[in-house]
Amino acid sequence: MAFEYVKKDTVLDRMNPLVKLLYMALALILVVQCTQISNISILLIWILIATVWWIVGRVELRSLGFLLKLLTFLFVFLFLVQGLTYRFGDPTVIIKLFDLPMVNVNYGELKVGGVMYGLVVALRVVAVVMVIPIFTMTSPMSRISGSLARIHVPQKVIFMFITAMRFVPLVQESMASIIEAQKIRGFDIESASMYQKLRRAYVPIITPLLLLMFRRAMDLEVAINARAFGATKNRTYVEDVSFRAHDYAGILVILLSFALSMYLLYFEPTSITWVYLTLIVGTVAGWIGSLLAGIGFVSLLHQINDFLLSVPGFNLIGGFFDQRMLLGYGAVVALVLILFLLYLLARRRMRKKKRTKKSHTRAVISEPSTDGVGQ
Amino acid sequence: MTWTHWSHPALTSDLAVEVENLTFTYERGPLALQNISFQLKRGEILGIIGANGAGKTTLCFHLNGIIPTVYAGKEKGHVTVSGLDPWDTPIIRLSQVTSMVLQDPETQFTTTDVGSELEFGPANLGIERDEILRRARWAAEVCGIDGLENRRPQELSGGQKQRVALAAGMTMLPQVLILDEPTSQLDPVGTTEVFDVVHQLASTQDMTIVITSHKTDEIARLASKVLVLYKGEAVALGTPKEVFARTELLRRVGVNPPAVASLAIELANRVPGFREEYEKRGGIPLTLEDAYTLLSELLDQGILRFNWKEPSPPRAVVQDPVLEVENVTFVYPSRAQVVALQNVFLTINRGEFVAIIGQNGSGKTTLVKHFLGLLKPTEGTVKVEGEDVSELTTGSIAKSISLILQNPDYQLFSISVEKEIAFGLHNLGLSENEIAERVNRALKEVSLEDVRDTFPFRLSFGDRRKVAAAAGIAMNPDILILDEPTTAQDFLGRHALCDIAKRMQERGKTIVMISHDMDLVAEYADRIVIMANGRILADAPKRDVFDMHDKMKEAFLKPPQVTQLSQKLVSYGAKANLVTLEEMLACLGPGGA
Repeated sequence: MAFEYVKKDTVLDRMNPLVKLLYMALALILVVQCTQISNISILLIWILIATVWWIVGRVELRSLGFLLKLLTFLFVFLFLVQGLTYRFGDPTVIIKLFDLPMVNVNYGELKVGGVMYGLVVALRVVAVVMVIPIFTMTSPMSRISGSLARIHVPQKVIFMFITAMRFVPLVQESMASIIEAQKIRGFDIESASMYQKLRRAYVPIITPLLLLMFRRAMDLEVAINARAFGATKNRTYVEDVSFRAHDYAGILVILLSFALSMYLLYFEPTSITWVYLTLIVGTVAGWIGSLLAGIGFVSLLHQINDFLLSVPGFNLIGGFFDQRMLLGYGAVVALVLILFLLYLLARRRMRKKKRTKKSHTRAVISEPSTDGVGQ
Repeated sequence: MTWTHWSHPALTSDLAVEVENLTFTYERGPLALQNISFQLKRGEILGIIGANGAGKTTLCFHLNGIIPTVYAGKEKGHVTVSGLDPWDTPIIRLSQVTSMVLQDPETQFTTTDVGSELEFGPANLGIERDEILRRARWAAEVCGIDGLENRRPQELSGGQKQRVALAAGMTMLPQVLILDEPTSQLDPVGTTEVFDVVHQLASTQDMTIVITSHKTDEIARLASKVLVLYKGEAVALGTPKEVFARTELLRRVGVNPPAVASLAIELANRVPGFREEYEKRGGIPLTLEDAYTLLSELLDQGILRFNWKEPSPPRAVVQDPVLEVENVTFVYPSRAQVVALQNVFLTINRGEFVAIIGQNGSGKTTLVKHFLGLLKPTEGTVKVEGEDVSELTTGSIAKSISLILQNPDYQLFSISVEKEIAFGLHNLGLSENEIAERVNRALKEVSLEDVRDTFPFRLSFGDRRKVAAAAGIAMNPDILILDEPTTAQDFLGRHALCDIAKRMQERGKTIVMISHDMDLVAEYADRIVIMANGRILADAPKRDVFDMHDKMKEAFLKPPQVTQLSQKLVSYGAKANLVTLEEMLACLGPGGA
């Protein structure tokens, strides 16, 4: 399962969970302060540092992939909403989806500044989320509870925390089993349409899950009561949670990287963090743009546009194709979009469509009339 | 003074548990216990047996304070456990005197690894660190789980999990240990492991043990006292020999006595002088050895005669394959790759009743999931009625195959039993009339007509399984797969499920049953497939399989008691394996004298 502790015996494994907790706290503090588009590079630097931690702790990249997959929907949503509504920053229009001019912004236009701001928000999420597996996947529960007790977190709170962590894989497992169980009953969630899924398909899955977890909670209550939970305020924690050299080293690294980010954020002339970044991005985008123009992609797009606009009434439905000036960002985005659509089509072609089973002629022994149940 | 430093009150006598006229009613619930009385001395083992809903668990909850701490109700009578009254003693203090191991080893894990699980109890008491570690080591050693301290619950077998739960209870250093169906989900070897530990605890640690179980042969072997409950009342209490001699009564209250005890009683009814003979030898035989000694002596003396009667031949099989597994290998895709199936070949013909047996984790359920396309073979092909499963949607396979799962809670979600059964039928796209008719028939089949409007969540676990079974049967499949019909089912319940399967077989359906209840397998199946470590060890008609002693041993299985007895009686003329009591009785008659 995705975020459970696996013993690996790395430095991070041996490190006190409190150090990693500090790391999480500082990540949160940093992210709260990075609100401007110009803070993008600070977030990138912070993410780079987190990646180093991942490598040191030998945390599987797969779980990062899993996290990002979970968040994709949120990211796309952020890009779209921010791109359409953000009114500051670079006003270059990437794509005009429709026409909805309000006070000083057209809500139908996807603007560069907005998408950039969406990117900042997304990176803020990533910067925090990336630190979580560093904590959960390298710290055994017993050490977490031991070290939390050391900083005088009440034992009930600790137990609640541990139980919550333990229930995550449990919920994942139960969910998989429930989906399986309902499939057996001819409940074809694969072939249901999106609308059907949202409307009623999740009832047969969520209901048993809730009931199951409710039952588990009752059983857990019996189990902890039978084992004298809460007998004394001074519960013993068996794990040794004293601070060692590597813990101090870890704290030092965390504080240094935090201090560096803070320095860049508040005192640094914007040349490193912003000017260079825009320079790099701008140059690369320019190259790609002129490359696309060079191979005739841009004029091809123009022709497609002209053709679509010549279809009567089409330009009224959506302004999307009414783009005379597909240059720079616009061409890149259009290219990516078209490639993505082609990929989707190709995948649909490649995937073998499962067929339904032919109904088999019934056994010879049974007559049609005795075919049912209970006769 | 805190609870932690409480010294156990000096025992005035060696009485460990005393229950006097206990009557209990759950809040807003039915009468659960009525006038129960018994006494237990230190080092005694009490076996509590009875059908589902007889009040076994309720009685257990009284002994360790879960009632009234977690579940409330009205109580009359008196309970004393090691000199403490659970109703006046905080559960925290009580938990140092009694420990309880629950039925489901999964739900009682409070932490994420074995080591901290063992330390959880004493750590809650605030005991010194070194003492905790010493206790954990001791408990792990006694229960045979030392070396597993770093494992996570998912990485343990069912038997290991249950022994971890046992060890975790023992680190509290209890005087009374309560085990509620500790072996209901375990294979024969896991069961014997747990029972052996229990026996050792009673004899060497002087612990008093209360154990509930459906496995009467194990209870008969180990318990010093047996209490039979029926609808909350104690219908019998005494030594195993006293209690299991009353087979009539036991059958009536839904308890299956050990096969050899039933055999002895039946013979006593038919053979004059038989009862006197076993009374002379110290009571009814409860173990295989006792039974064999008794029978062989009486056969030698001529009081009994063995006339070989050929058991009915197995049903003829028509070559009409409905399930074909060809060279299937399956690897679970996870961090540590596990080979769950290895080069499996299996063909099942229409109308067969096949049992797949093997230890927990031998790959039985994994194999069955391939039939429905829930898992895709890493290598090889699976065909259902001639069609390759990998090309079919699971939804359409469900029209031909019903799988009745071990845990009904993964599927029940409707507001009423009736709607629950109808769910699958709606998925098949049947007409409303047809659905109503099928629901009625299925309800009748599992005899749950009275609760058709009840919310399934409110039913007992046994009944919830029946609802799930009814839902499967109502789909009217060509192939019915029963995954461990014994889980949390009493004697009557498991037979009810198997009887339904048998009736379906008579109508030409194909039945596949996964089980480690050897009595059940021997009685119902025609053909047995033994699995171990993802491979098929043996595949033969049932009577032949029970002769493959080395294969049975490799899969950690034991033939049923009756079969073992018939194997011992070869020199008296038993020509083949007998699998049921009736077959054995047909061969034994009064001697010529």
